[in-house]
Amino acid sequence: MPVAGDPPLTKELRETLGNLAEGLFDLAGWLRSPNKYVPPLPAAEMPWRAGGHRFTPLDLGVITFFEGELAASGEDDLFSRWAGTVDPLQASPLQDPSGWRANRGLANPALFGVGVNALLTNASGNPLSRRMFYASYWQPLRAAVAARQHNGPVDWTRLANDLATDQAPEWPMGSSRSSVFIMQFVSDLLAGMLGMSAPVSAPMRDAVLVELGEHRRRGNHYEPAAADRDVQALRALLKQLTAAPPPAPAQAPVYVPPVGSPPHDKK
Amino acid sequence: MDIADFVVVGSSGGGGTIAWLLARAGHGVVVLEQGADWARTLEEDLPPYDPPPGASPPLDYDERRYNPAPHDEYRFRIDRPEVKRRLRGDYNTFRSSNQSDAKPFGLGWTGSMLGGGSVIWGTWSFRALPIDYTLATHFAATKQLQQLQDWGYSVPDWPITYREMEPYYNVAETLLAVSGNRDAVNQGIRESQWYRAFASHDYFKSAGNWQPTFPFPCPEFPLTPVGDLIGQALDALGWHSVRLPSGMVAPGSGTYATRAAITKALAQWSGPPTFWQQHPDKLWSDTMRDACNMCGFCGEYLCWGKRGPKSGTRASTLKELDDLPNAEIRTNARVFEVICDDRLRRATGVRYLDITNPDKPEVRTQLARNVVVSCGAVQSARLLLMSGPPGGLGNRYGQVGRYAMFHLFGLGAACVFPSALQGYLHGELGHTGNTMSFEHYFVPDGKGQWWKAGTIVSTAKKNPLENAIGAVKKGVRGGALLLAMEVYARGVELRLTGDDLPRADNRVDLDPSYVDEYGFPVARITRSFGPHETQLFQLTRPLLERVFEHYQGLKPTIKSSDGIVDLIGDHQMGTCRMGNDPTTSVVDTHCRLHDVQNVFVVDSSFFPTGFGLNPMVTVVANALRVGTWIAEELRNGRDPARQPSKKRARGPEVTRKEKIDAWVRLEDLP
Repeated sequence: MPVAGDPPLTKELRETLGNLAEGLFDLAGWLRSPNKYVPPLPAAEMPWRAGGHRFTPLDLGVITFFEGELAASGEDDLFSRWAGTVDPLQASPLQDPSGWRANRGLANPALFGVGVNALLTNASGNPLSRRMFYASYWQPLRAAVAARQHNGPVDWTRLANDLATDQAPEWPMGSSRSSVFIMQFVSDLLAGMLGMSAPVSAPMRDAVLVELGEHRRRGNHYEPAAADRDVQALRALLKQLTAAPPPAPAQAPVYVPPVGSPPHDKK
Repeated sequence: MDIADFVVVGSSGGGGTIAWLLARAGHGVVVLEQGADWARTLEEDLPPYDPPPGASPPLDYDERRYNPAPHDEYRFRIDRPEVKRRLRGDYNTFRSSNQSDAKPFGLGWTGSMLGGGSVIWGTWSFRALPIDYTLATHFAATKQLQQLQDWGYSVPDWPITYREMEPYYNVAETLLAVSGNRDAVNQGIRESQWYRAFASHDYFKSAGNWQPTFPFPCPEFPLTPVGDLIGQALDALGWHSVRLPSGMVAPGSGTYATRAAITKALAQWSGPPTFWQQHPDKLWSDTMRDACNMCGFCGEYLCWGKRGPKSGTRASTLKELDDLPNAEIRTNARVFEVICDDRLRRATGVRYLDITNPDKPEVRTQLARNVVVSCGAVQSARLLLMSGPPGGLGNRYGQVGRYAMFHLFGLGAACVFPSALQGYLHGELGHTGNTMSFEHYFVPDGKGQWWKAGTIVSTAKKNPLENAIGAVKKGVRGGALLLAMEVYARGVELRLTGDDLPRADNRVDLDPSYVDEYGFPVARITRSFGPHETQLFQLTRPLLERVFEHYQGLKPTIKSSDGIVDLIGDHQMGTCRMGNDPTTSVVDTHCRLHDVQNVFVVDSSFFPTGFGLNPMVTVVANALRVGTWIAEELRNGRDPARQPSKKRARGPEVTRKEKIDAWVRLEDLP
């Protein structure tokens, strides 16, 4: 089990995760894809598009960000206190919580379901910290990578895909599913790429947001005139589009969250 | 304060407002809030901002007024849910039928921080419409009431009138610094089809003032590209788009003086109660609030402005309260029991856990002559059911927790525009929501009847990270994930805040099995949609899709959705229904428990019906109404807990000595 104060990642693991991040997010290929939106910015403000540069998640410092999350994960270890709680009533301030419950027609013994509020849970639904979550995956990941390296240079895109679909035969039997690891790792990488806290300076920090046409940034502030300019720009575009031949159909949404969703999909 | 005049449990629109009023009226008030004061942390991160008198603001003035710390999409929205919604270790359970076992679920949250949900709300600031107070009369007149009853609904008129509430709405809007255009709102209502269909009926005309003249205290919020896109489509359909009234100091409007705004509201009030006749200097300080800078991070976040651009009790009434010597605010105070003396039929205080260190909670007692419960409709019901006799406090007739309403979240339409619009929608501008329409407050069924729906609001896509992570959890990855992220940036939504009509079986009670971190039963929410909701989905979805068909030439992708039964947020209403009959309601018209009349419930629990719009303005207005009544009673030497209400069951006679003895016994409590 990891102990607070341990270095979150070894050099070797850092390198492996960096390669895996590149395999999971082919950002350079994305920029080259047909009909890709080109942000209307001067080239100097988009160094990730500079000639000869290959845009990868590492440009945004995602592994450093991820390591920071692991280091901060200690404060989440309080979840282990709940997970290990044998008697859910042991912290009750009531003198006789079981009697109190019985008097109110409630069942004994009581159950503890706090896992629904946790960011991460194990296979049993019990909360655990990020550090604990990942700790159980490092060994099988090392084994899978080592096995592929044994056969030559690793195709990280392929490995990422195999892990995401539980199709990597090198992933040790009996380990937790690799797809669960990948799903969480991708989510954490996204937090590094879109979460506005990437440990690199602008403009690189905002590269993915810029490429998405997202203007949401930490420190944003506007006057009404700015909103009006944007309204006028959209009106002008719509006028132009409606005068022109119809554009290609809009790409169907791959994922549309329920309208009005409260944040999170934690149910 | 050993024995407070009032202990107020919860600090959002209800509790935070009434606490200020009662303290300002001179009474000893203790506010207990289970969350921490997150906004203070943000304020303390900032250097002093006040320039010397007469000096121009320094160059870094904006930096001193605004703190970008909450602009951390990951930290504030995903990584640490307890920061904004609920305490560590707290949760609810849900079931869709009273025949099934409930399971823990992560929704139905309660804003757990000083200021509660009024800190993290969406700021959509509507008053209820007059007809919301008389729905039973309306449906009886249209001969639909019997149908609703046959379907299992209990739709009453409110026992108070819009007319009684109107002056408090005016004041509430000043506390919330609502930005909007009253004439436009009035026109939007007046020219809706349903309004024109009903307008000739006497009951409709007499329901209240349909065209209020009190201007919103702030000019309307600037138009955004998403608001304009949808507003134009609404107007093309003849559905009268209106700029969304918003509880924020309008961008570009300079600073906001609450005291001056209140003064204007009082000028419209002929013969206000004595409390409101005080000189404005006695009512409110000279503090100013800053204008919103449209940073766009406030939806379900803390506002980053130091001087309250976003409205809520934390930025207004609680700030005033904090300066009063007869009031005290305690955070991290998690109340688990309203202490009640059964013989006196009075509450004598509350017991709570001081969870400043959540690993080492300490039990504390706050004695009080009156208790005000305002924890949100789910948690207020839970607290009452955990208090008093085994059946719960105020629950003699089994009404506590019933008629829970949550609005029809999920009902709406989404539209994705072609890639030519990438980068043009600017969803980041301002809060979520910009233009709206009253056109669907009632919708026709094509058979000559109109059914209650609600308000529709344009909503921008704001949280690319959250959407992307949601896609990952659905199994999307690789190039498809990047594409989904692109698509998100050119999507918009229309949300219908639909009215779910009250049914007794939709309720909150104590979960028989699951407990929270401290061993207390969590709230169990039982909810299903009835025939009215199902019919409403069928009627409204095509209407919502029609809005986007205005842009058919662009070949957008349009998708509508029904309400989602367990998509429960912070619009929580009912559970402590207000009424005159103790056998069918929980509180009377002064929001006192029928059973224990020194316990008041002033959050949205008291709502007999749920409107089709955000409840915050009504909650604040009602807290002002109830607080004013209490203050007047006390000023006239009357105990507000002793006014007999109709059909009140009388308890045994209690002597003065016994009352004194009861207070003495209370001191033995831990």
